[in-house]
Amino acid sequence: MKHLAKIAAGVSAALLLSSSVAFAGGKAAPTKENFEKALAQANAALDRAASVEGEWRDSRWKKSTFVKYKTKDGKTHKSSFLGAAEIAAADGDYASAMKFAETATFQGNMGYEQAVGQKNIGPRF
Amino acid sequence: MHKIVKSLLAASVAVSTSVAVAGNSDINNKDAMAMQEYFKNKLPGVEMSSLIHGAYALDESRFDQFMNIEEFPPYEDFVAKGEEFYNTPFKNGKSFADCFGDDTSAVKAKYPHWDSKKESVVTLEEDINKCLTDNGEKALGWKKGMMAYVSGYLATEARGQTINVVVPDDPKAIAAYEDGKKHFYQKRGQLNLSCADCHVYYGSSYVRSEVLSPATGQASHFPVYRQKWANGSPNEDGLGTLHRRYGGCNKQVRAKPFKAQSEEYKNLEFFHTSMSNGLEYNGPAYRK
Repeated sequence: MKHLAKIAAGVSAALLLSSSVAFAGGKAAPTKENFEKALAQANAALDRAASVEGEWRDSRWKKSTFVKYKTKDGKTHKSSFLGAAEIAAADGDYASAMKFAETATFQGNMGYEQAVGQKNIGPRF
Repeated sequence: MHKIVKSLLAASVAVSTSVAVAGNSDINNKDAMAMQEYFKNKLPGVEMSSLIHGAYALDESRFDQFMNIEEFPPYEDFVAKGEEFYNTPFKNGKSFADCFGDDTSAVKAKYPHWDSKKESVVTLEEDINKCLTDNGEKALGWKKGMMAYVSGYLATEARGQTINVVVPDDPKAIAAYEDGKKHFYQKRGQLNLSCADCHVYYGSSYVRSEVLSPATGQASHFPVYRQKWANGSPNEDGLGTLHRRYGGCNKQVRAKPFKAQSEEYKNLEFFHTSMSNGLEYNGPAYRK
């Protein structure tokens, strides 16, 4: 009986672990609510990058034409990652919208680190 | 290399004679001399004074082509429009001469400079618009069109004069200069490149088919007539200001550009122009 209880505990622990791994590794569902969270996260990351003059060109700059996205009506839109995220969301494609927003967040974080990492930069001669 | 090439010594002397007088910081001249020394070692046989011609100073064939184009400069008509605009009185009867003085050859060399009252760097384009708006006229766009024409006219008038940007011995002026210097050396954008990466450490190297111009001498020939800009213009107007070019450079490394005449670009101009101290103004000039 004791032996069975140990096995049951082990199996439970394994199940718990695997489910938590799946949860950690999984993506948030592509919903309007989750997209809005991703959008807010991206804007916060980009504001942080902008505060140290580290914003990149294609993250959310309105004149960027780097990211291409085709809407259901067949029209191809050119914009920034955040611009494309909003276009995709308006088109109901929350999976693409969240992917674009996540890229913008990544760029914001990288831009911030890039700028902060070089605050004492000078000539190498 | 060619008759336009002046001696290395002359450039060095010019820089050393442009150094501080009482009340002026020498910080920018020290930096300019250090950068010019770097290029002397990097580009043996190239006269520093010839770097006002950018990448064309590094190759005889390219230089010959450049000089052929300059015989009938494609910017001539635009500069003439700038001259006409400059000499046309405002509606209130005043003119640019009331703002800048009668000697047009003396205007360009005053910029950029530190204004201790405004606690800011002041550029030529900024004062052109200030003169217009102070006299009830409409301000011009910062990057091209009539602004570049007027600036081009004043650059033509200043040809042959020595660049001598002064950084006053004022902590705020020095901070603005240091801010511009930091912008120049700081890597930015998705491509992780600084101004210095392309125009100092790799200045004179090829990027695909193009040669990167050394930073020393770059500010001498603005506003510049770029064939690339002319190709995108219905009337082949390729004239643009220094801040237009800064924005283009930032975009090329995939960084979000700053606005023309923003504090960031004005401070950058303060540093960048200082790096050509001792060299001659030769703007506007043709570039690919």
